[in-house]
Amino acid sequence: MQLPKSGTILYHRAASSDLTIDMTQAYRYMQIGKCGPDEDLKAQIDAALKAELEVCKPNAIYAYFPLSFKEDENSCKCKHYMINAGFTNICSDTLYKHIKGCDGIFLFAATIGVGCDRLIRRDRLKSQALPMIHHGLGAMLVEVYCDLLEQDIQKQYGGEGVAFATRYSPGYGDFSLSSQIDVFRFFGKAARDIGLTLNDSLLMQPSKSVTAVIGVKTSDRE
Amino acid sequence: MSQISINEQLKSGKMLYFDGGTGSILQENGLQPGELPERWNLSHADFIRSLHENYYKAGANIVKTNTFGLNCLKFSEDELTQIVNAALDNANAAREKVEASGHAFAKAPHYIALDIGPTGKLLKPLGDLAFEDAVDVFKSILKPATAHGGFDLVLIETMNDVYEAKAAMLAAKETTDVPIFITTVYDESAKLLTGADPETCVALFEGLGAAAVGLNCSLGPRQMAPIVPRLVAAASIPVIVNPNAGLPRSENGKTVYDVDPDDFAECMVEIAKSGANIIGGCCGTTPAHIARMVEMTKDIPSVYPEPKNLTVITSYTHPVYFKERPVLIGERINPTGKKRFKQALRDHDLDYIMQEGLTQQENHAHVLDVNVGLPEIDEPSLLCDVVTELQGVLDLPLQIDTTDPVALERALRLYNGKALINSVNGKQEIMDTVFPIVKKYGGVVVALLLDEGGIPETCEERLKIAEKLYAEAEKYGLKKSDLLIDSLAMSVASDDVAGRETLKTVAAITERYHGKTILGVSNISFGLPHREIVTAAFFQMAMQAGLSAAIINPNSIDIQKAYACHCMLSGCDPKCMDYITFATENEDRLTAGPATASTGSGAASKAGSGMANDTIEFFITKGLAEPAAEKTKAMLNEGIDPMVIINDHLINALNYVGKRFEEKTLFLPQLLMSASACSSAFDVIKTYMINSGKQQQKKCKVILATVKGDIHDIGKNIVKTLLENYGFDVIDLGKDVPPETVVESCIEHHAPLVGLSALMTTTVPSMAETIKQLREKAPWAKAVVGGAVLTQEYADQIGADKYCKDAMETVGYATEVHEAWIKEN
Repeated sequence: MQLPKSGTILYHRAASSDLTIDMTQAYRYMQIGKCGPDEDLKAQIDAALKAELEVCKPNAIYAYFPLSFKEDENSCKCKHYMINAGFTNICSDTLYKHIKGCDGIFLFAATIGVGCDRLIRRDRLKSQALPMIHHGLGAMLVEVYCDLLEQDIQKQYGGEGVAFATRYSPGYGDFSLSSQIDVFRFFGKAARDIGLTLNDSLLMQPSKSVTAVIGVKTSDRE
Repeated sequence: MSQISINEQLKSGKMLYFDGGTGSILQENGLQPGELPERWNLSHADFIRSLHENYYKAGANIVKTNTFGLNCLKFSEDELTQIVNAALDNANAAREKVEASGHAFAKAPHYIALDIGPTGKLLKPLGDLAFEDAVDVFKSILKPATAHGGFDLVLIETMNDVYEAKAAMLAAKETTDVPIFITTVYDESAKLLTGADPETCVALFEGLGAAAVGLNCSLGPRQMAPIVPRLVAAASIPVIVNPNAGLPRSENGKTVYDVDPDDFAECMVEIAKSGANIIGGCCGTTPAHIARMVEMTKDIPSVYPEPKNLTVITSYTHPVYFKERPVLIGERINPTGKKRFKQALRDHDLDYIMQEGLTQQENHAHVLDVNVGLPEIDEPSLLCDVVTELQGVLDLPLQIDTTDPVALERALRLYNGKALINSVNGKQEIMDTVFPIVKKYGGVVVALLLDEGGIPETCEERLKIAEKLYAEAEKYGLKKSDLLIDSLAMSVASDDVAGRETLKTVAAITERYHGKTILGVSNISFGLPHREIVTAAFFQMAMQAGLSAAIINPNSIDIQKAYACHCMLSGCDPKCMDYITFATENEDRLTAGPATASTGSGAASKAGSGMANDTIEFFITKGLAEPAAEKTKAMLNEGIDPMVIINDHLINALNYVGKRFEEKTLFLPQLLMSASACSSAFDVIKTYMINSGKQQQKKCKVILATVKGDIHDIGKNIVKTLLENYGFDVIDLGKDVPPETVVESCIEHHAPLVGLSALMTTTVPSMAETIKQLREKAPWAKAVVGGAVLTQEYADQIGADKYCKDAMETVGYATEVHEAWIKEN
């Protein structure tokens, strides 16, 4: 299918039942070792997961932009590359390495809503372990939601001769967190529509949210 | 042109029409990604005027100014004023032009709505925008708009969060006198992203004085349709429905919306028939959508809503109605007669108070009473803190219980919902003070049947005060349904007929006045032995007499029994389901003989099964909080010294768990469960020491913070828990803490140790800056650092005294610092 018009904001929604739960990932975030949780702990985690799924509201917005790279003209701090990503210019060598060869990107912002943050606040009173369990579950849920979003984007706009890179977020490598300002400026009202905000320290609220770019290479398309 | 006011127009029985989308049309016409649409009021004034004009010509009665995102967070004061003036001028110019034309709709009433969208920030405690700051952000557009004039109503729209919507409503009420319309965004489960359902929105916004309430954006008309009847059933004010034309999608490189004008209009016919009074469109809708909708719905009458006379309060998620089934109001957040609670208030120990709230919720309280009045504290400030914290943790509606009008108003203002207010009474001065506050913020108020002459003895005399209260409330625009009459339960021990007269009054209010009633039932048994029996019996009799709500101890099994049985036997418990749940959940307590209060967690029964050991060490190792607390109580009762329990048992158990954690035979969640169990044991000791007037010895002070730019606080919280368990006096500054705050706190407390945590590489510089400032201004303090990205190497680079890889290691280092500090002091 043809790629969307550059800069058009599109919406993605899912129900929590659409997510592929990955407990191995969640256990890793909870720092539970390979042998897994014992029976008592597992019961607690299962109950917490049930509560998480009840309040989890996966929502995302995304847009496509064509991409071009420019060698450094001493105008930016990084060593080699300035990336014109459509919504902003990004100086990042690690991002360049990650999306080298791509001719476009999908920029997205995804969140599972405030439910997880609320559970962390409430269950802190019940047990010190529960906030950590909820952090782990929330992080896993937003990651598997991003997986789903990526798959849906690939399904919709992929096809023969089209290749996608995996997602890469501001804050990874030398892809500066300050790019979040540009991401939120670009999404504007749409970010409010999905209840996602950026605070003055460039952190997203709700906390279980992800912004990222996905490189796309269409040059091999027939 | 002079025209009838929009409120009168709404009462005329004719449907009113909003315009459609603005942003989506601007994008199609060249608005660039990231460009702020509000600037088009100046740069593309002709385009904006013609857009308004086209909507009026399509049959819209109300156009929204192009000011959705206009506020001081994005614009300077000067630019904001210029834009708001231009936006209002553009809308007025369009109106004048249409009305001067010979167009078919030239004579239709034409209104202008000052359009206000969300701030784009999340409010505290989940976000970083304080409630009063949000009010000011909204005022930043309302004030210049009001100074300019030229709008007939304010439309607050696309609200995802009722708390932010409340801030916008208060800002509008405090700035302008025009009617306020408000629409929120629902998802397909008929909830706001922050959890509120339609009934909550209606109750809250009606209470705040909205002239119309409804929904917009996010959904297409078909998905919105099921929500409309719910709004109509709950609202006593007109209902607004402004759907999207579906959602944007990409089709062969073009952006299209799902729903075309014909489809849109067809769905809107159904919506109009289901009782909506004002309809229009949102994103993706165009003048063509509006024209078609007007054409197809113009003959459908708009029925102005009947007053529903519901007695309803809300939290930020759900309403509580005062109807047949009595409402239970938990009374435990109240210092009266509770030493430990008083101490918690003095220490600003909010966690203790939250715990009281949580336990009551687990024991099925529907509403929580909040009373923090102590003579020596700053009640307005503490009440606000407790309300803020409670509503950040629990989703139950609150009853704001205070005699201080300043505290009442401040707490009601920042309460996230429509509150129950405790209380007003028949004294003129009190009515003159409390009723205006109730009217301003919305709410249901408890009205005590006493006045300047005290509490009358007989039912008939009390009813006279009830009549006075109803009449006086009406003067302020409050309805009978906004009052819960409290006929006052007095101790039967000092007056033989106290119970009888109170019950007669409850019955009379219910039957003669069709009013709603409330009682603080436990007063009845004051001074008697085995109070619970008397209280429960009186509670049952009061429910029989028609009581709408009771302020009770929800943790009492006698109260729970009486309530479960009453609901079932009076036909309010379909298929006896609630009774069966109650009986099953409380099997142990019901068969155990003497009634005891449950503390909620339910872990005790679990610990009992197959347990070989009943030492406190065992309970802590297993992370069983309730048995650990019970065991501690038992040990104290046996006369074991509290310090022996701490040093010989609790610390030993923690050390054992810590060792296993280091050996990786036990994981972090389990370490934390043990820490929690240990905390409950400590809490028992703390209560014991307060009650026996002893001082608990604490180790040195430790300041903890997750540094500026980082919100990952779980590691820091773990360290805090363990340090507290080991007896350190921890001052937790939270997350995203600026270096200056850490330094100020360190100086204020003269703390010998500061613990800093960071999870992200990007925030390590912030940690370095904090340490640098500490070295300059608080050179005595040691800095210990930790967090996922930290290494010994990093720690050395940024000049930390110590890097600790986990919480147990931090405890070890803190102990070293403490010992050195003891020697020096």
